[in-house]
Amino acid sequence: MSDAELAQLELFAQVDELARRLQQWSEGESPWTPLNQSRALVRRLLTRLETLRVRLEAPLVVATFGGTGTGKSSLVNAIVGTECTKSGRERPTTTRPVLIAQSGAELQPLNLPIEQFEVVSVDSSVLRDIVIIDCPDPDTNEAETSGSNLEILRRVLPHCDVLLYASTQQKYRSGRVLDELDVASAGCRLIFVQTHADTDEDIRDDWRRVLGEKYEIPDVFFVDSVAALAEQKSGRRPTGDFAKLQDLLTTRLAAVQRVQIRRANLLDLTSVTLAKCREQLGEFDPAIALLEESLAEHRQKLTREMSRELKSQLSACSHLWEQRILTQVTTLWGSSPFSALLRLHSGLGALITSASLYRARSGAQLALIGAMQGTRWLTARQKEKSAEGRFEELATLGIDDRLIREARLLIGGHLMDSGLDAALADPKPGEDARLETARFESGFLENAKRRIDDAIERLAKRNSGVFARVWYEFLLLAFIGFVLFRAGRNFFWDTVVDPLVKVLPMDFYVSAGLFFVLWSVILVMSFCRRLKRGLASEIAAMADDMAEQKLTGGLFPDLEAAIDDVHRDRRRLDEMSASCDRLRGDVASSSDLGSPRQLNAATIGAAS
Amino acid sequence: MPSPFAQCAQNIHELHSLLGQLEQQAAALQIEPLSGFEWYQLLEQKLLPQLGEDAFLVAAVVGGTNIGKSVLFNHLAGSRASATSPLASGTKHVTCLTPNGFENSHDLSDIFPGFELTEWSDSEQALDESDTDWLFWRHSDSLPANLLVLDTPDIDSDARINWERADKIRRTADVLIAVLTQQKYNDAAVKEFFRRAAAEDKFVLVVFNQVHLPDDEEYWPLWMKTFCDETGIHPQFLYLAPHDRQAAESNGLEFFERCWPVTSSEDIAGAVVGQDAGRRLREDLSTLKFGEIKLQTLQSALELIAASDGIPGYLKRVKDRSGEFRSAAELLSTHNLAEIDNWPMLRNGLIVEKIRGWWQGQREGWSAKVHNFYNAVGSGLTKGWKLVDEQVRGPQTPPLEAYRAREWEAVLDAVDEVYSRLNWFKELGNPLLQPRLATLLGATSRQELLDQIRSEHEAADLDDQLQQLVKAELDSFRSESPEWYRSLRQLDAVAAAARPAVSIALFVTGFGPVGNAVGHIATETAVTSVVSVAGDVAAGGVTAAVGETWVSSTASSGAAWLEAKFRRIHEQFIAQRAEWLAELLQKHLLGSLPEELTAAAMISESETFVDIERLVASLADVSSSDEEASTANTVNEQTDSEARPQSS
Repeated sequence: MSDAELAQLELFAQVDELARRLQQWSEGESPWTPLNQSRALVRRLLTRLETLRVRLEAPLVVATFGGTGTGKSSLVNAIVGTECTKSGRERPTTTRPVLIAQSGAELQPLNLPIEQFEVVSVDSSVLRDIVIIDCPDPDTNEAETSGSNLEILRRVLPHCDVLLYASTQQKYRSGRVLDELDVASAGCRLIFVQTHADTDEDIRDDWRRVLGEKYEIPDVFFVDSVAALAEQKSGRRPTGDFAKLQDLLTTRLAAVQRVQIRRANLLDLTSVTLAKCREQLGEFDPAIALLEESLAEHRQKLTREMSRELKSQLSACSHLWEQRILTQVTTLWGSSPFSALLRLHSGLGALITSASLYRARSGAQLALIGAMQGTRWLTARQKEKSAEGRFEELATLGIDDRLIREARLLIGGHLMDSGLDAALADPKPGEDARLETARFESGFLENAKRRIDDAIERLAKRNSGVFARVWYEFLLLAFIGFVLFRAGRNFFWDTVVDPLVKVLPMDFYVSAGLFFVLWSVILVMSFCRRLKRGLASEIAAMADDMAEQKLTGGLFPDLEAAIDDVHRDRRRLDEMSASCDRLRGDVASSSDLGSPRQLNAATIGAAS
Repeated sequence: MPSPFAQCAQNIHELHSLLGQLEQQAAALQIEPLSGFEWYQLLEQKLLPQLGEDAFLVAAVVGGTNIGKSVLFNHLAGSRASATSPLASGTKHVTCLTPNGFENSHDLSDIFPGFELTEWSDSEQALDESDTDWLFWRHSDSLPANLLVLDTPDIDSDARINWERADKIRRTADVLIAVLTQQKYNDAAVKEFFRRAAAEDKFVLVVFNQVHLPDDEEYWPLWMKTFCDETGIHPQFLYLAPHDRQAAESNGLEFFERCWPVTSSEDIAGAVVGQDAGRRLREDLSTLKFGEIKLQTLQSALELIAASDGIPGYLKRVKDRSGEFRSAAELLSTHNLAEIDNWPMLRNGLIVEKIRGWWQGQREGWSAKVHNFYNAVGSGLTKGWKLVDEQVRGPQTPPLEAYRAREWEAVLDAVDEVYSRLNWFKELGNPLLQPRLATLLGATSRQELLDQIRSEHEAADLDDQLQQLVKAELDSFRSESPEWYRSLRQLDAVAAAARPAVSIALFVTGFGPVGNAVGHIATETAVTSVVSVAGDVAAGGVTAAVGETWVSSTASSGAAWLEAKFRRIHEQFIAQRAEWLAELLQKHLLGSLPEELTAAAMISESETFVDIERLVASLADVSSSDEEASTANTVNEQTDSEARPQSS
C-alpha cells in the first residue's frame, strides 16, 4: 500500500469518526431550544459532508469566480488552451455554467447537477486531474431571483473544491463580489488572479491588502489571458505568470493532492459550523449559570429551613432521646445490677415508644426512633400514602410549601431566560408536587438519622464513664447492702443477744421495698438527667451543620437532569471542535493555495 | 428668478419640522428613524435647501470605483483638482468646484447638508480615510455662474460609506455625469444607483470610459441599451472616452460625442455626430438650460416625496403601527391580568373581636363600667388559662399572622396565574409585546416582583385595615338603622344589669375558662353562631330579663340582618386585600407598559399627524398645478444661453 493510499484510508477513518460523532450529537430532541437549533445546523452540515465524502476520489472541481467582465471565460480558455467557453464584450457573457472536462472523464462521482451545465469535452494536459467550471458572475443581479446569474452561481458553488478568483483593476474592490466571496469561500481553496494585464496596471499589492484581513493569500497571478491563448494556439508555451498559474493547476491540484485539499475543505466546513454552534450555545452560558446558582440557593434555603424545623422537633421530644441513649448505655455496660435496672426502665420505655411510634407525627421523631426502624416505618408509610394520594402529611418536616412555590416561580424565570423548556420545573404530570418535596425531605432525613446515631453514641460514651458507672452501681448496691445488713444483724445478732428484740416484721420489708423502688427511681432519673447533659448543644450543632451541608439534588429532579445533559452536550461539542481543529492543524493546508481565515457559517445554510 | 416653488418652499419647511416632531413620537412605535428613508433624505438634501432659491445647478460626476471619475472631473476643472490613482476606491470624499463669488450669495453648508465643508487646499485631501463626510470646495474661474461641479466617491466598492456619500450628492444634484465602462455598465450596484437617479428625473450625461475605439464602436449602442433599459435613465448627451491611461493622467483625454438614442437600427456610424473631434465637456455643461433642469429635478423630487412610497407611505406605516399598538393594548386590557380569586377568609373570631372592641367603645355610663369591670375580671381569669394552654400546646401563632401566611399563599397563586397568562400572551406572538414580555417573564423581573410584593405584604398593617373596615361598617350601621342600634344598646344595658348573675352562672358551669379554649372552634364552625357569640352574655340571661317577646320579634329579621352584615365585612375585607394585590401586580409587573401602548396607539390621531396629512395633500396639489404651469412654458428662463440643438 502506498503512502497516498494509506493517507486516504486514514482520512476516511478520521472523517468517518468525526461524522459519526457529529451524527450522534445531532440526534434527539432536547428540552433546550438553542441546542436543537445547533443540532439542526450540524445536520445540514452532515448532508454537505456526505457529498464531499462520496467524491473524495473524484477529480477536483475548479470554478471561476469574479465580477462580470473580469475575464473569467477568457482565463478558462487560456488555461485549457482552446476556446471552449464564450468570452465577449457584452455584460454578462456567461449565464449558464460551462463544465470543461477531459473527454471521457468520469463525471458521475462528482455528484454534480450535470443537467444545469453546458458540458464541454477537451483534451488538455491541464484537465488530467481536474474539471473546470466557468461560472456566471455574482454582480449583475441586484437580488437572487429565480434564473438569475446569482442564483445559478449559488447553486453551483457548494460543489466546488477550488475557486479561481479573477479580478481586474476596476473590480477588485467591488463590494458585491467581495460579499459573495465571503460566503462562497468556506470549504474551498482559493487561487487569486488579476486579469487584463495588457491594459490594466498591477494592483496586486493593494488587492492583497484589501483581502489580507480575511484570506490567506500565498500568491496572486497577473495574467493576460488573450495573449496566453494566442501563444498556445501558435504552438508556444505560455510565459510569465500564466505559466506559473498553469503549473499550479497541474501540479498542486494533481490527483495526489486531492485528498489533502478535500480534507482541508471538509475540516474547514466542520470547524466553522462547530464554531457557530459554540457561539450560539455560548450565548446562554450566563443564563444557565444563573439558573444553577438559583437552584443551589433555593436548595440551601430549604435545607436551612428543614434544619431549623429538625432542631425544634428534636429538642421537643426528650423522652425519645433518653430512650435511645439508655439503650446505647445498657449495651455498652453489659449486665450489672444498675444496668439491669436501666434495662428494666428502658423496657418500659420501649413500650411507651412503640406506643408513641404509632403516634409519631414528625420526621424528626421518626429519625430519632432509629434508623432501621424509622426507615422501614417511613417507607411503609410513604407507600401507603402515595397509594392513597394523601401527601399532605408526608412533608413531615413541614417544608413550607410556599418556599417551594416561590422557588418554582423564580426558576421558571431562569428557564425562560436560558431557553430551557419551562415545563422542567413543573412536577411530573399526574404526580403531586408534594411527593417531590417528600423525596427531597427523606434524603435530608436519611442524613439526619446517621448524625443522630452518632450523637447518641457520643452522648452515651461521654456521660457513662467508668466513674459514673461505679458510682451508680455503688449507690444502688449500698441501699441493698444496708437493708440486708439491717435484716441480717437483726436476725443473726440482735435477736440472739437480746431476746426482747423481735425478728423484723413484714412491715420492714414492705417499706424497704418501697424505699428501694423510690431509690431506684431517683437513681435512674438522675442518671437519665446526666445522660441528657449537653443534649441541647449537640442538637444545635447538628442542626447548624446540616443547614450548611450541600445536598446534591432532588428539588427538581427533571430540571437537574436536563442541566446535566446540557453540560454534557456542550462538553462533547467542545471536544469535537477541538479534535476538528487539531485535524485542521495536522493538515497544513497547501501553501500554494489561498483560503479564508475566518469562515462564514452562512455557507452551511446556502449549501443545502 | 423667483422660483415657481416659492409658495411651496414654505410648506416644505413646515412639513420638515412637523415630520421631526412626528419622528420623536413615532420612536415609541419602533419605526425606524426618518433618516433611513430615501424620500426624507431627498426632502432634506434636495428640497429644503433648493426650493425657493435661484436656479444654480449642481452637476456631479458619479460612477463605480476606479473607472476614471476623477480623471473626468479634472478635465472639467481644467486642472488636477482631484487626485487620481491606479488603485480602486481612492476618492473617499467629495470635491466641489464653485463659480467665483458663489459662496458670497449662497451658504454652501445649506446646499450640502450632512457634509463638513472645508476649503480645498490639496488634491490628495479627498483620499483620506475618515469617518467624517468631508466636502472640499474651491473656486474655478472657468465655471459659468451658478454651476457647481462635484467629484464623488464610488458607488460600488467594499467601503459602503463611499456609497452613502455618493448617494447624498446624488440627491442634491441636478445634473449627473455618469461614468460607465464596459466592465461595469451592467453591475448591480451601478444599476441600483442610476435607477434611483432616473426616478428623481436627473439630467444625465453619460461618459463611456475606457472604450477601445474603433473596435467597440459596434458594441457601445448595445451597452447603452442594456444600461438604459435596466435603469430607466434617458441620457441627454453621450460621450465616448478612449482607453488611454497616459492621456488620462496628463489630463489630455479626448471625448467623442455620440448620438443617443440611436433612432434607427441602420448604420451605427450614423450615430456619430460630426467629425470625431474631442469635445470640451465643460463648455457643453455651461450651455445647459439651467432653469428647466432645475425645475425638472425639483418637480420630480416633490412628486417622489408625495408619491405613495414617500410621505403617504410613511404616514400609512405610522397609522398601521398605531393600530398594532392599539390591538396590543386592547389585548392587555381585555384580559385582566391580575384576576384574583380564592383569597383566604379571615377567621370569624378576628372580626368578632374587632366588633366587640367597637361595641365596647359605644357603651357609656354605668353599663360601660359594669362591663369593663367584668371584662377585666374575665380576662384576668382567662389569662391564667391561656398561660397553661401555651405551656401545653406550645406557643401559637397569632391568628392575624397565620392569616398573613395564608394570604401569601394566595399571592403566590395569583403571581403564578399572572405569569402563565403572560406566557400565553407571549405565545400569541404579538411582535410588539413579545420582547417586553420576555423580559417580564425573565428571572430578574420575577425576583424583583416577588421581593417587592413580599416587602409590601409584610409591611401591610392588617389589624389596622380590619379595624378601619369594621369601624366604617358599624358606624354606617349605626347611622342607617338607629333603632336597631338603640335596641341593641338597651339589650346591652340589661345585660350589664344581669352580668353578675350570668358571669357567676357561666363560671360555675365551667364555660368561662373552657370557653376560651372551645370558643374559637365554636366561632369557626358556623357563621350563624356569630350572632349569639357577638352577644355572648345575652344567651340565656337576657332572654329571661327582657322577655321572650322582644327577642322573638326582632331575632327573625335581626339575626339574619346581622349575619348579612357580618358576611359583608368578610367580603369587603377580602375584596380590599385582593384589590391591593391586583394594583401591586399591575404597578410592579406591567409598570407603564399599558400607558405606553395606549400613548403609542394615539399617535395616528395626533395633531402633528393630521397636519402632515393636510400638508402632503396640498403639496400634491401644488406639484400637479406646477406641472401644468411648466408644460405651459410660462417659466422665465434667465440664465439659459443659446439652446443646444437637440440632435435626433
